Amino acid sequence: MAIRAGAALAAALLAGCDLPRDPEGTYDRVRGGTLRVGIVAADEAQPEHASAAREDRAAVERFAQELGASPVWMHASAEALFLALERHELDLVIGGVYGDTPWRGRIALSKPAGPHPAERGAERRFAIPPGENKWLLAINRFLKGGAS
Amino acid sequence: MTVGALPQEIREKLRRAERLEWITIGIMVITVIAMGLVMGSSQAMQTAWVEDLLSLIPPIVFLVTARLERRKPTALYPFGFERYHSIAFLVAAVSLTAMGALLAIDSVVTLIKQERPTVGSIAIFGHEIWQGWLMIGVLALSVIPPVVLGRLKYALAQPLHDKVLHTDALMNKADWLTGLAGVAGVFGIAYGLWWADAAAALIISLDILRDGVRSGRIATAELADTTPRRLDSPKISEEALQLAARLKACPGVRGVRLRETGRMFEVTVEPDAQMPNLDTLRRIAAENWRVATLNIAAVHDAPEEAGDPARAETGESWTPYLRVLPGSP
Repeated sequence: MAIRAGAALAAALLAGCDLPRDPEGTYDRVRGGTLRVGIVAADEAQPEHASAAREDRAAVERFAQELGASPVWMHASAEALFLALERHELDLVIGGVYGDTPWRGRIALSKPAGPHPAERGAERRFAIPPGENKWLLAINRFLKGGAS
Repeated sequence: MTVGALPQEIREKLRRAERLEWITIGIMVITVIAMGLVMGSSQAMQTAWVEDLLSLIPPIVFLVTARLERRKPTALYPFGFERYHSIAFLVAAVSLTAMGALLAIDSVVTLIKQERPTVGSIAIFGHEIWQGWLMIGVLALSVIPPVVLGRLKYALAQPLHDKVLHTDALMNKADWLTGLAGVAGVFGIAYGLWWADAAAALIISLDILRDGVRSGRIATAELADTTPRRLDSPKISEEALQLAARLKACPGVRGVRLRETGRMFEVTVEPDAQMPNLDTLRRIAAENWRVATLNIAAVHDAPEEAGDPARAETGESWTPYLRVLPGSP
């Protein structure tokens, strides 16, 4: 309890600072600039995924508006998108990202963005380039702040 | 002959040491659990967590062997149980070295692979707070007990000449150093310096490795029955040299050999043709509580050179007395 209070206090004090920072400056680049988003290509055999991807896209459009950023969309397979994300060629990957992805050591995952379209009880998330902690914090705050 | 029992003062100190080790285990378990909860993917923090697990080993072996080493010799253990202390020392030294090596390898690999540590956020009172602040809090708190415990143990290890306790104190030092490295690392991550984490850990690991290897050297030397060393360095023990000199000065004593069994000395006196006075020898031995056993060697054939620990540093070779074996010349 004391640790949480201490952490909250420290965070409040440091709220004036811009910590944590992004090693690749993703957040600062995206704000007022371009937001490069990858959407996992829909699988025709699983139509329920398509509606989840549409919800994710709508959420990202709202987020982009808040940041004053213009989104650029890329549709590709999950593998291609994650590879690009790892190389910092994308800022965000949505529409088919789950917590048990084998890529989870190489890219960062946000907090849950919504329920898994097929598995009950599971959740879907957004994927973020590795190590971009300020960007991740912003996305988590958006996902948890604007309750869907 | 076995010389006196442990003095009261030493026995009290041993009890204090045992209490300290129980407290250490309790605190370490709490720390390990707390760290496990806030760990995230910080490299330094994950390694600090594994090391806290490793640092449970010396207290456990201490408590196990502290009971064992005091038992009276049996037919199965005619030389007693003191050597278990030496074994515990080696185990503790190896744990410390393993800790240093683990940290070093981990850090180097992370730096080579250029892994970026991702640290997310945690919900507190409805706000998303960066988890790094929580990690810093837990790491900073985790530094306090090892500092306190380490000092107390270090102070106790000297009078008890307890190598396990001493190594455990070094382990506690390693604990709070890695805790601080973790704090520095997470701050580094906060400032966008993804490599700060691993770099801090690497620097710390070199210090830990040095302590671990040195302890390993001393532990191995002891188990190999070399002339007794000091508590914290591979140099020859002054105490042992003085004891040997006093014994050698007695008439009838040709040579003296010493080795350590646990925290105790085992003395072997090589007599002349004229036997030394046993009471004189016993009196000298009894003055030091660390002398547990005093042997008089049965010399089959008087060698040219006789045992003298004072010549240990020169490394010259000498022929020990011939062992009395059936069939040997």
